[in-house]
Amino acid sequence: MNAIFWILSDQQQAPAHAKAANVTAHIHYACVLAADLYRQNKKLLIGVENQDQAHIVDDWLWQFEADRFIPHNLPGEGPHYGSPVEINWEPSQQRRGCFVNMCQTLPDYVGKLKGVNEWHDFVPNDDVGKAAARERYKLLKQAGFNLTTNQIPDSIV
Amino acid sequence: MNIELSDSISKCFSENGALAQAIPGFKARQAQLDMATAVRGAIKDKAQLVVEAGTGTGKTFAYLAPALLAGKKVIVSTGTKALQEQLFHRDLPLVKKALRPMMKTALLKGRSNYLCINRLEVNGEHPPYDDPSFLSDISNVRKWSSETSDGDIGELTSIEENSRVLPFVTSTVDNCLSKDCPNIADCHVMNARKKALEADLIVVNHHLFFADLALKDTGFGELIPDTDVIIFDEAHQIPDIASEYFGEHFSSRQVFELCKDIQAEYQAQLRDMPQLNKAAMTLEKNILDMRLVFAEDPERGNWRDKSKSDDIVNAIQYVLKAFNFLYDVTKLAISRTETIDNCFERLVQLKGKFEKVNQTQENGYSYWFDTTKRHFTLHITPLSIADKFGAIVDESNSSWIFTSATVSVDDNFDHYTSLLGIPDARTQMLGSPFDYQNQAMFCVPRYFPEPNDKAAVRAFSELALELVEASRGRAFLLFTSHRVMTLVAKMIEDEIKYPVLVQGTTSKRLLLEQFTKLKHAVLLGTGSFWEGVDVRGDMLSLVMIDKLPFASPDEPLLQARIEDCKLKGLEPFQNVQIPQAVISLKQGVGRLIRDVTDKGVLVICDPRLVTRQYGEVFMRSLPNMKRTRDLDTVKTFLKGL
Repeated sequence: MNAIFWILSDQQQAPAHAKAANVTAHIHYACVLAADLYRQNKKLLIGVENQDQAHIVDDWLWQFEADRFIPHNLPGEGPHYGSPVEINWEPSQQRRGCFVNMCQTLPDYVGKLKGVNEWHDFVPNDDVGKAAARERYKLLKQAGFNLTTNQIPDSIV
Repeated sequence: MNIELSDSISKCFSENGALAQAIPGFKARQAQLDMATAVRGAIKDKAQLVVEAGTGTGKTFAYLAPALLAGKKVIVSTGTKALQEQLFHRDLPLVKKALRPMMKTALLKGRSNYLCINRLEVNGEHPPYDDPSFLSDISNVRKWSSETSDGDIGELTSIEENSRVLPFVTSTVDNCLSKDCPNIADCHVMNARKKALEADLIVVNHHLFFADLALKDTGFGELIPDTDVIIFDEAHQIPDIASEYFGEHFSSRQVFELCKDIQAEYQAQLRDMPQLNKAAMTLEKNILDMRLVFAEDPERGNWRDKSKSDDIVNAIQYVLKAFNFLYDVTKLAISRTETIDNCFERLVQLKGKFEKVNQTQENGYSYWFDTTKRHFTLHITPLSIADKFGAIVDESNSSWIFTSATVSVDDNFDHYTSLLGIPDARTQMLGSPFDYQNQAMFCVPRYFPEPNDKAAVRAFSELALELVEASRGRAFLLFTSHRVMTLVAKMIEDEIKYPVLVQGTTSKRLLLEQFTKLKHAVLLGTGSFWEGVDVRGDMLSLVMIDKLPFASPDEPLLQARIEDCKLKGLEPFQNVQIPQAVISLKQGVGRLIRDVTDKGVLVICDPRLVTRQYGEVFMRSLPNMKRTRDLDTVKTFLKGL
């Protein structure tokens, strides 16, 4: 399985109005990436730390411009077959090929995820975040993932 | 000349222009000027124009000014009688005073809005009912009839709006004696039409316009060919209304009334023909019996399927037999009295229609029925009116202008222009002057049950209680079904400390008056409350909608369009159902922000908006409000209003 770590530079900040909504650069770029992957017709699971963070991500996706609309759901809402993007702090019931990670420590359900063949992760620009990302990188490598790192292109906002 | 005219448009909308001088507080907006210029262009080129003008653009002045300045013959058609009166008595006089004070204008309503002197006399002498309330209403009408100059029933305030007397003191196309009427010289309908013929600008409503266009019998039809400019306001309603009139219908009520009229004529003039009375009574009985074959509660459905069931087949046979019997007998009475001649003509028409609605094998039409407590109506609706209507527009030598706050879907007019068969129409989209990001908040609550889940009704009620508390009343709860509205009303009525007003308890107008007067009320409504309701200021801070307004799949007009869409090889959900729901939702949402200083919250309790891919079409079509899914954010915003 492939895993990509996206590296956030100090150039990449969340938009000004994001701060008040507790949206970090990490969350913002994960949402932008989710929008992009959805447009490629992929089914996504956004793995978050907890319900509070799920709500932050949910609200932020909902506020995207109408022409970057991303149909998504929290656990317990939406159609029974799921929407294209699910935000969850627990493993999903659905098969989803793409996992976008927002957890600091690797969730313990990683091994139980159904059908994931693409893992997206982030290296934030702060020291604590970097250290945690390094740890996840190490664990994924041990688990046999093919790892690559990538700069987030500056053109993406 | 053209330069002059365009110059005069910008002049009349300018800071010290004619409109600003004549209308206190008038301040032209760029969008308004743009629309006026486009309307002027369409008038000059005899072109078709579709304009979407968001709430607050001032579209009424934007079409009235160029229409008046052009110095041509104009028809303006609005959605309802109430809007017709508002336009005629409030907006038109202002523009007229500013631009063409000498212009002749007229208001024309449908026939049933005018007193019929002949029917008042006949039914006053031999009242069809003899209970005191009926008799006192009749005498009130008689008193008013000597005072009124134009016989407009709208001025008649001494009886109830829905008094049983009304059908007996007004006429229908069926029972009008027209040229044979002894009172023709004083006929209010004729007078109103004469006035309309002489006027430069006539204000009508869509129903009247299309009744006329399709049936050529409401009397101003001869006008349309001579009209240079036809303007439809609230034009999003045109496809539905036009479909209704380009179809045909047969109603048991018309047969019932005919039978009653024949019996009355037997009593009055034709006592030597007892067969006539008997035949009329038989048809009356058989047509009422046919109603009993349908379910007791009012319903609608597919007539092609229904008409094949055994009891219906039998009932049809009985009615046909009675029609034939009455036909034979009435024929013998021809030319004895004017009334019986008129009855015979109606009989021939109704019999013909009845036969036609029962030939359900015809292609290109949808056959359907609906029932009320006592009557039933059988309908034939064309699958598409594009060819017919498009041809009328093409063959006319007029400019046709269609304007509404809600005609486009996803910034696109194709849905509308293809329904009406006017693919070459010019289109113009004008944004609203409102700052929706700061004036309005839009929430689709989290974890809400799917709309077909039984739990949704309770969840809606509980959320309504919470939010109405935060908004201190001042709320509209809009529903897609009457059933859910009634359920929610029951659940919240006793729990809410603000006055609750429910549609159906009294007239729409009175409910809205109470809502404004009470200041902190909660109003529950369906269908008609989604449109044309204009409550400005802080009386309305919260609009809650139960679900996306997809038309019910058994809606006959929708069925017809779906069938038509499939025949064209297109996908009906994308091309018919979503656009229809988008336009309805835009109407409902439009209730919230009516002015540049209005603020408010919209809550749509339908998770499909967030979770389905088609949510995108809705989001792209709605005003760009500040979005959230968090109810605490909503409550904080509401408490600050």
